[in-house]
Order: sequence, then C-alpha cells, then structure tokens
Amino acid sequence: MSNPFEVEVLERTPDVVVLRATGRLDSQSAVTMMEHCERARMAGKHLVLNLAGVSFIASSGIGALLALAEDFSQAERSLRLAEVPTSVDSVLRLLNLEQFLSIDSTEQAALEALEAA
Amino acid sequence: MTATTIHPLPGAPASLITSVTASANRGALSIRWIATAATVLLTAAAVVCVSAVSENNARTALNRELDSRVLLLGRNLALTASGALLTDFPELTLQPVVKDLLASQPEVAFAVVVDHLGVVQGHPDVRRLGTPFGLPAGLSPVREAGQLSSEESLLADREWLVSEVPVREHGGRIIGKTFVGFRRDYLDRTLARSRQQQLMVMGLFLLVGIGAAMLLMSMLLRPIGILRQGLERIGRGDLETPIRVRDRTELGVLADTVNEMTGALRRAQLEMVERLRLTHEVDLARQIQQSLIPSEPLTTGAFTVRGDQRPAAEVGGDYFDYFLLADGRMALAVADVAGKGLSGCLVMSMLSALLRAYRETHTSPSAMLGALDEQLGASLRSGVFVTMFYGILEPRTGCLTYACAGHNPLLLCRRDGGAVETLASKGIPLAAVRGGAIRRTLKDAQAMLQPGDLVVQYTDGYTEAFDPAGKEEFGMERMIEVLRKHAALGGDSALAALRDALTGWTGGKSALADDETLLVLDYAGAPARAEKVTASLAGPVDTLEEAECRGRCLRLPSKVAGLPGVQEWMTGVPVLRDLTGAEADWLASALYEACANVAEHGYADSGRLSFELWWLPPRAVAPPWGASPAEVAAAALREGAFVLRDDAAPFDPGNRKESDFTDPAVRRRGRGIGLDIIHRVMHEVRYHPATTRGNILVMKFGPRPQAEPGKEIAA
Repeated sequence: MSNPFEVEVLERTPDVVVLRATGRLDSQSAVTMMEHCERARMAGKHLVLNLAGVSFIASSGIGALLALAEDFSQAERSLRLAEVPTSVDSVLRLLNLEQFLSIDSTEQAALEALEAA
Repeated sequence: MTATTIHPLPGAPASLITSVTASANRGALSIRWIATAATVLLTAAAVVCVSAVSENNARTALNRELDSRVLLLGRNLALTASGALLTDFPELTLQPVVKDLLASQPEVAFAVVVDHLGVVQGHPDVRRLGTPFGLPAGLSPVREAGQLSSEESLLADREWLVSEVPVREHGGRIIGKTFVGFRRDYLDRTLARSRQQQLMVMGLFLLVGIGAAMLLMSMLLRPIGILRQGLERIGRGDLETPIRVRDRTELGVLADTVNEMTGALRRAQLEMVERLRLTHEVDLARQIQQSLIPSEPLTTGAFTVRGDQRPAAEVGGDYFDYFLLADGRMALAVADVAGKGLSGCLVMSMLSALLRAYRETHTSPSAMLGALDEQLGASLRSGVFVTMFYGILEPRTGCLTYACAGHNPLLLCRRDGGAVETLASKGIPLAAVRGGAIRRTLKDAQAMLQPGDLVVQYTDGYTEAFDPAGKEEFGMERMIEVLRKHAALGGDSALAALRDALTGWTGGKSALADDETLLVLDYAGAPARAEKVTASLAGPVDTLEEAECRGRCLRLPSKVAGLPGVQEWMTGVPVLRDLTGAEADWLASALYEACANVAEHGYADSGRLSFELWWLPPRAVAPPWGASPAEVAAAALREGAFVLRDDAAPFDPGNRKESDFTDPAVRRRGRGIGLDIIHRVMHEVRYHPATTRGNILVMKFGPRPQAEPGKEIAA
C-alpha cells in the first residue's frame, strides 16, 4: 500500500518532457514531483504528467497540480495530465477541479494535443 | 560440639519445656544395693534349701547305713559268740571281745551277749556278767529294716538303735543272743559337725559373692548414671549433645535409642518452630491480601460493584479490585496468580501496585494488560503467570470495555428472560510468554449493559470447587443456573446465592483448597443515554465512548508515512469496505486528510505517539427495499459517525470559507485543500478540542460534490 513514489523522466520531443509518476502522491512526494516538473518548466518545455501509476492523491498533491498548472500557464507552457486513475479523478471531480486542469485519456493523446497547439 | 538450646517461640506449647527437677529432688534407691541384697538373699536361700535337702538325704542314708552296721556288728558278734557259749566259761572269751568291739567302734554304745536264758555272758563291764539283761524300755521294731534273718530284729526309739541277733550252734539251735546298740545322738553329732562346716563354707562364699555382686553391679550399672545425666540435659532443652555410652549391653542400646529419640525430637521441634513461623507469616500475608482488596461496594451512577473473597486454608493468589478513574469511569479487575502461598501473595501485591500505578495511564483494558504483562514478565520467574480480567465501565452509557488475559469468561445476566451470556475474550495469561507476545493476543471487547443487567466475574475457586467426594467440579453451568434464578433480585442476592450454592456443593468445608473470588456488577438505574448519542452527536465524549464500545478502531502513528493504513483499514471494516466507486475514493480521501491534519499539525509528524480513528456504525439502518450492498453501505455510512481522537495540543480552527478555485491565486497557492475535501465528503464535521478524552473530531459521511464558494467549513 505504501509503495514509494517514483518519477520517470522521458524526453519525447525537444519541447516536451513526459513524467511518469508512480506511488502515493502526498505532502512528501508532491515536493519531489514538483521539483521534476519545475525543472522541465525552467528548461522551457511542455510537460505531460502521466499519473497512471498514482494510487492515491492527497490534498497536497492536488495543490501541487493546481500550482504547477498556474506556473506553466504563466510561463506560456502547457501542462497536461494523462491517464489519470479513477481514484485521483474522483477527488478532482469532487472539488470540480477538472476545469482547471488539462486532462487526456492517454499519454499519446496528450502529446498529440501539445503538437496541435 | 557446642550444646545449643532451642528456645521455643512465644505461644509454643508449655509441654516442650520439660522439667527435670522433680526426679532430682526425689530420693532414689540404689539399684546396685538392691541387686546386691537380692543376690545375697537368693544365694543364702538357695544354700539353706540345698543344705536342708542334702542333710535330709544324708540323714536318711546314714540311718540306713547305721541299721546295716548295727545289724552287721550284731551278726559278727553272734558268730564269735556261738563257739564261746558252748564252752564252760564263755565270759572269759566274750568279755574281751565285747570290750575290743566297743573300743574299736566308739559309736557303739553297748554290746552284750546273753545265753539262751538271757543271762549276760559277754559284757565290757565284768560286774554285769551273770546278770539278766534288759533292753532299754520303749524300743519298738524298725519297720523298714533291711533283710532280717529269722529271729533277728532291729529295735529303735528316739534315743537308741539296737540289733538283736540270735547265736546259733552248728545245728542251728539258738543258744543265745547278741545285743548291739547305737545311741542316735551320735548321728546327730556327726550331722551337726557336717552342718557347721557347710555353714562356714557358705558364709565364706556369701562374702565373696556379695563383693563380686557389688563389683559386677557397679560395672553394669555405670551407664545408668550417664543416661540419667543425658536425660537431665535433654530435659533442660539441650537436644544437641548426645549421650555417649560405650556399652554392649542393653543399656548401650538404650542410650542409642535415646539419642535417636533426641534427634527425632530435635527435628520435630525445629519443624514445629518452622511451622509456627510459617503460620505467623501466612497470617501476615493474609492480612496484606485482605488489605489490598476492597471491603465495601462501590457505586457510581446506577452501577454498583461488590466483591467477595473467601480465602483458602493456604494463602492464595486471587485478587480483585475496583475503583473510579479520574474521568468518572469505573475500573474492574479480577486476577488469579498461578501458585499459592507467600509467592502468590507477593505477586498479587505487585499486581495491585502496578494496576493502581497505571490506572490513569492506560485507558484501554488491553493496553493495561499489555503493560502489566511487560512489568510482571520482567519480574516473575519463568513458570509463574497470572490470569486476569480487566474492564472499564462508562457509567453514562453502560458500555463495558474489557479484555481477558487467559481468565474465565465474563457472565452477563440480561434482565429480560434471565438469559446468561458467557463473554469470552482471547488473550494469553500475563507473564506466560516473554517478549510482549501477549499484545498480539489481547483484544478489547465491549458489552452494552442495560438496566437490570448483572455482570459476574470470578476465579476458578468457584468453577473448580469439588464436591465432598472429590469427583465433580461445581462448574460454570451451575453458576449460570444459580444466576438465572437469582440475577433479577440484584447483585447482593446473586452474590449470596452463588456463595450459598458453592458452600452447599462443597459440603461447607471450612478449609478451602483455593480462594473463592467473585465480583458482581449490578446495573440498577435508568436507561442510558447511549441510544441517543449516535443520532444527535450530543456529546463528543459520549460518542467516543460508544465508539469504544461497539465501534471499529484504527490506531495510527503520529506521522504521515503511517497514514496509508487508513485505506487498508477500510478494506477490513464492514460497511466501509462495501462502499464502491467515487464515494469510496472520497471517503478514503477525507479520512486521510483528517488524519493527516492530526499527524502533521497536531503532532508535527513526530511518529512517537499515536491517535485513534473510530468508525461508529449506526444502531439500525433501514435501506430501501432491494438496495445493493453498496447502497446499504452508503445508507449506513450516512447514519454512522467517524470519531478521531488525539492528545495533541488543541488548536483553534477559526473561521474559514470554502476555497474558491476560480480564483487563480487560490489555485496557485494550492493549500488548505484538505479541509475542502473533508467538508465536501462529510456533511457534518464537529471539532471538540481539549475534552476530558483529548481532542475529538466527529464527522458524518455525506458527500457534496458541488462547490459552494463562501460556505464556512471550519467553524
């Protein structure tokens, strides 16, 4: 249940970084995730955050996603969430946050959306 | 060896202190003199008897000899005289013959030869010759004379013995007679001389015998003096110094026997002194034991608890106790130490001290038993263990939370219908297994008591009491039967009935084999408020205690890393595990956020302490007809409550409105979302800081997935 949080960083295109997160996204792991995401933003890249491996998301994880989305938006970069698991999606919908996040069903769909933009 | 005297303890029987002065003061006859005098007297008597018999035999023999001799002398004289009487002057021949005879035979008093006319022809006195001869008067024939020839006779009286023998010529014609006479005093003189000699010899022997007897008696009887001195020492209390008699007679054997007896007496005296000491200590131990257990019933609210203990002949290890905790709850304990005697009493004292020391520290019965196990396990030797029941009663709700460490099941007598429930609880005895293994076996259990209910706890002195034949135990079934009949009459009556039943069963033995301990909790008051608690959430402590009674608990460490346990716990709790879909995710998220607040903000993620999350299910749920398990679970969830209890520093939640995520600044800040989740998932959230049981958060499930910006969520 308490599987460690891990982030896999993939440079899919010169402008896009894909991060694949695995584990529980809570107050401690959210910091790790934000560091990786900030690195991509600072490099001026778009980010696809694949959450397929996230088993649970705490409020701090949600806060991190919201803050990252705002930060990327201000930097005129895109942050897209892909393959969001049901358990995470339920909580996002509970708070009606899906309207503030770009969510794609698959990682490929997110990449395609970025290319189209 | 140094002689030691054993001083008896106060209270020892006076017979132990033997007085020897009586024998010392009384004049004693000397056995030596008695034995010597007896020897002399017996010897003298024997000699006299032997002498008398011997003299009598000698006299008889001498008489016969004398008869023969006087007859023989007469015959010899007759032969000599037969020729002489035929001569013309027989006196010339016979007078010298008779004279020689008398001269040569001094014992012959007279010898006379007469002719056929009775005229004396031979006599030592010549003047008697030619005169008629007459025998002394009074002579009579001797009956037992030897073989007498014809015309011969033997005459005698008390003075004389005379033979009369005819003198015959060759033709056989009697021509005269001879008379030879002996005086009997000759015989007496002879015997007297012999007797005198015998007496002299006997006297000599007697003197020698007396000396020898005295010497022999002195030698033989010397050990008696040593024995007497030894016995006097024993009488004075000296049981250490043996009597030393090197004698191979019975007196030596007697000394050995006395020494053996002294040894046995010493051992018996030591055993008795030890027994008296032990009895004294046992009395003290029993007083201590009695002082540790309550002597009066204890009442709080509508509950009254009373205990009863009949101590065994030997000090037992039973223990019971009850007291009020600082928060008004009542603690009940019954324990049985394996083993009796002083060790059992000491363990019981230790248990009592520990229980009272920990009474406010460990509010959960299983935690209390775990702590007691830890302490006892470190102190008691292997093989000594304690079975124990510990319960905490909340008098406001009637909820009894209890745990058992290998103890007898609880008996709960319901008021309605006289049903008696046996409430067993798992758990190994205290100190039975080292290393805290007991914590894995202990589990708190709850019982909701109703007015009129009676709770009975006891030790095996009740269930295992044998009948007088020693074949059958009293057993739990009989206890239940007695309770079924008497529980309705109240605690006092039930207790008395159980005691009477047991006394009747055992035949009223005065010396019990084991302590008989009983604890009776009586609920005589009005119905509790418990039924109203869940619905109204009127009091956070009430809700918490009801949750402790019949809810499901998750104990969490005070750090975020331990919070994944919330989801795992949910999968094991009925109702919660039946919830599916988004509602299940929301509930998990809300509970997580509530717990994370406590761990992160209350305890600063220290991880050193713990707090509790309870699910208090509703008492009854009426879901719609045909509802799925998930729908039933959702309905139950809306009626139940979640209770979070912690001992962290209380905080003021203040007033906070629901987050407005349409505001980019709110989104960028990304904080406080946890409260939003809790309030979206729980339709009722009440925080009660710093109650008597710590901070209590009560939440009721009711998701609200629509935003209501501006809604106050933390009041």
